[in-house]
Amino acid sequence: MGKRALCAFVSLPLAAGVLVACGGGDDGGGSSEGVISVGIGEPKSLFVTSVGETEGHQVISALYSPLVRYNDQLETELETAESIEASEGNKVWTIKLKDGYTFHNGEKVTADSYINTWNYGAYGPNAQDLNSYYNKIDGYAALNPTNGSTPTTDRMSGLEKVDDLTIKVTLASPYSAFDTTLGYTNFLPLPSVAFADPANFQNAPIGNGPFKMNGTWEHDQKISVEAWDGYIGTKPKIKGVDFKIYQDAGAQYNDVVGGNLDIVKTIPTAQIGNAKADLGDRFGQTPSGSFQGLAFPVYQEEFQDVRIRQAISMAIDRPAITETIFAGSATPATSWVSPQFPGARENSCGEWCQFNPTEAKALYTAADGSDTIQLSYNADGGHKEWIDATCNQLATNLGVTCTGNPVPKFADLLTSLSKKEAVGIFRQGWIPDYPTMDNYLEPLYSCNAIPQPNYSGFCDESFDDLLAKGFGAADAQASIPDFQAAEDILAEKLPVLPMRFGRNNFGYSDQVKNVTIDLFYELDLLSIENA
Amino acid sequence: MFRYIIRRLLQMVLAFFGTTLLVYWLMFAASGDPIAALAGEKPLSPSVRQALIEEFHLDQPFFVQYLYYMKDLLTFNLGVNTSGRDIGEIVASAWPYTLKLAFIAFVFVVVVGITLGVIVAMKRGGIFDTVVLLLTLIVISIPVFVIGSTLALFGAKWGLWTTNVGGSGDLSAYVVPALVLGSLSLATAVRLTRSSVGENLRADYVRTAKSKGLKRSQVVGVHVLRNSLIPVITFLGIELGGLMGGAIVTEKIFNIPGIGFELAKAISLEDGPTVVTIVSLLVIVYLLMNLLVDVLYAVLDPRIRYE
Repeated sequence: MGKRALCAFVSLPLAAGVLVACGGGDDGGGSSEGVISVGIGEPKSLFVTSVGETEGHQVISALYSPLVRYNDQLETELETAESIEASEGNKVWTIKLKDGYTFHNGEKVTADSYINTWNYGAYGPNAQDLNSYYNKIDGYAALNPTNGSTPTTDRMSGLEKVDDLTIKVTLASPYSAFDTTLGYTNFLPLPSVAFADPANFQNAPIGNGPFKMNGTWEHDQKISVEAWDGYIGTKPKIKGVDFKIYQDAGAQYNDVVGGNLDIVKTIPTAQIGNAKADLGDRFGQTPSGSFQGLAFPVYQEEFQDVRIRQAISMAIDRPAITETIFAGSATPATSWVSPQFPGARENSCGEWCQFNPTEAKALYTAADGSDTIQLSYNADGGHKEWIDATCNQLATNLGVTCTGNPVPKFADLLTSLSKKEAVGIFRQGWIPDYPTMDNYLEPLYSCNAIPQPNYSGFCDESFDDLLAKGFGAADAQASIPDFQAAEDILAEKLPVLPMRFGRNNFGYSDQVKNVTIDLFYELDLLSIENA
Repeated sequence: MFRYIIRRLLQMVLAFFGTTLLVYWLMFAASGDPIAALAGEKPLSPSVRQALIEEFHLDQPFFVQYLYYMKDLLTFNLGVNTSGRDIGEIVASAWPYTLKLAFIAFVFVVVVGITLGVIVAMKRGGIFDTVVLLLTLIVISIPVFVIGSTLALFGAKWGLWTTNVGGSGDLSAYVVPALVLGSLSLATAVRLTRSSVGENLRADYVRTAKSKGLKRSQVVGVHVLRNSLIPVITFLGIELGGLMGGAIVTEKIFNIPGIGFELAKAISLEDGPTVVTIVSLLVIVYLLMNLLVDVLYAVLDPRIRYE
């Protein structure tokens, strides 16, 4: 302990290089006192309007504080917003900011910090990954002309600064869950220095959150953040976080077992069997919102008859797959929306998602189903095992020849789909961004999300009408019955078969406690404590 | 000799252009849609797609794309990868790790490999010889990722050695990864040295030297070793090139942010410019190593002349 404290003391005023040297020493945890280490993959970007993946998101959640947060029941709670009010039937939203928030560099967080960021993200030529996340705001289309021409304006007409702490957002059409979406990365604020040189800014992002950067982003190695004294919200219980960058989840797991890393967010499936023995009660599992399904391309004749889709669904023994292939690291899905979400139900799929081989075979024969079934999947995502297991079940239970068809990447599958090739049934995954039922329903099944991410091409007028009705409902609570009714249409039409919802399988060292990962794969850095 | 080296260097320029063209074409043919690969399974709006396509000239025909790339390369502007990071910077930060790893592995292969090889050749047929041969056979038959993962697991479980090298500047952290990386070359080097030394021990000139009354250490040290090392040096030279570029698996297991890892990542992201740049650099390393080996040849064996 003495050595570690000394190391921290000596290295504080020195460059980051010295910190690395301390980390490499034999002092166990590898970080200085009160600082925890978390394993992540190399983020793609740390510029908030371009952070669409979970690794970067984890770092961003330390550096920035969102307008709203979600509590344990996934209800929306105000964070840096004082109030968020809807008017004109959910079309106009007035966001009042809490006074007193500043960025790490001392700049005051104002309505402009938000408006400038959102405009920057939505401006097509800036090519930000989260560009499409602003598409509900009025004026988005003008910043993203589809004919390839340069936009005539770089400001969305739907964003208006009322005063320094008030933003008025006008949406293109009513959206009852807009306040919930404000918790996602794209709605964070950026200080004015960010826009001068975004590529450089993201090496040491300046945020408004509980932690600030300690040094710069050491690519492929480490990102260090430390608790920031100037933060006026709920302060973290730890002094800082070292995000150690790994190339391989297996190496992260080994390091947690060996005491060289505090938290591994994903334990590889191969290690889950022995995780209990290695880590004891420091092995944790929480539900994840990640959805895996099997989708039917609408253009393929052989799947037109709904009875065929029902029969295939009933011929799959979902619990057997999650138990044998995933060693309990996933749960069988019997709905299209994670049952953890407010308003969602456990078994909206009903009898069609229950394993019933006899009924399945009878139905398949009656509908004159094809003798061969093909399951397409991307070979780079570790899907082979479960696809093969599913294929075996279909072969056995329906008496068909089933083959798995690996394509190198998901992008190749999309190319085949766009050319309307006979790919057969294909796997589809989705991770929601915020806890509203429509975050599963709209992107995957509505007509205007074709061709992506509604890859199956399912389009149903009454489904879209129900979503629109929900968007116009008085509030999030009132929209639930409409979303449920929309989900019932999926149970009736079965465009995509629910297969399973993921689980977060994480492990931690004896240096930390109160470790939890939410439905969106985000580690809660505010609740973690040093053990 | 000088003219020979110049000629070889000129050939290298041709080889360099040939390989970049080939690799560029392979990346072009193999990647379906780099932008979709970049976006993963999340939707990317059409306007963003359009902007990225223009930035990376993806709408241009193959040769135009290649010319753009070569123009940048020859002006020492390596450009940015598809996530916006400077490729020159990536290579500059990754190279030192791979060099450290390859260097330790190489020293290990040379010292242990040749020493063991000479010893077993002298004691041919003995127990030691049999045991070493058996061990090398085992190492050659086990894939390197199995050896690597097993050592990483043991190291982590009992705290024997560092399994996460990360950006560590500490050379000792690289020892175990270097052992893993060098294990296959080591086994081959032992076997090669053994057979080469064994062959020379039976040669006429050795019998002559012995009958002249030279001491055994002189016979082996001066006559046998020098002649036996010629094939070994060829092998080692080529291996050094291989060690520098072929560390993808080892770097992944021990989390070393080196060139092999960057290459693997770029391939999976269909990041053409980065792949071509790294592969081109590896090609240069290989070519230089080959040249070095050929020059060393002439130094070791006076019978060989390059004119």
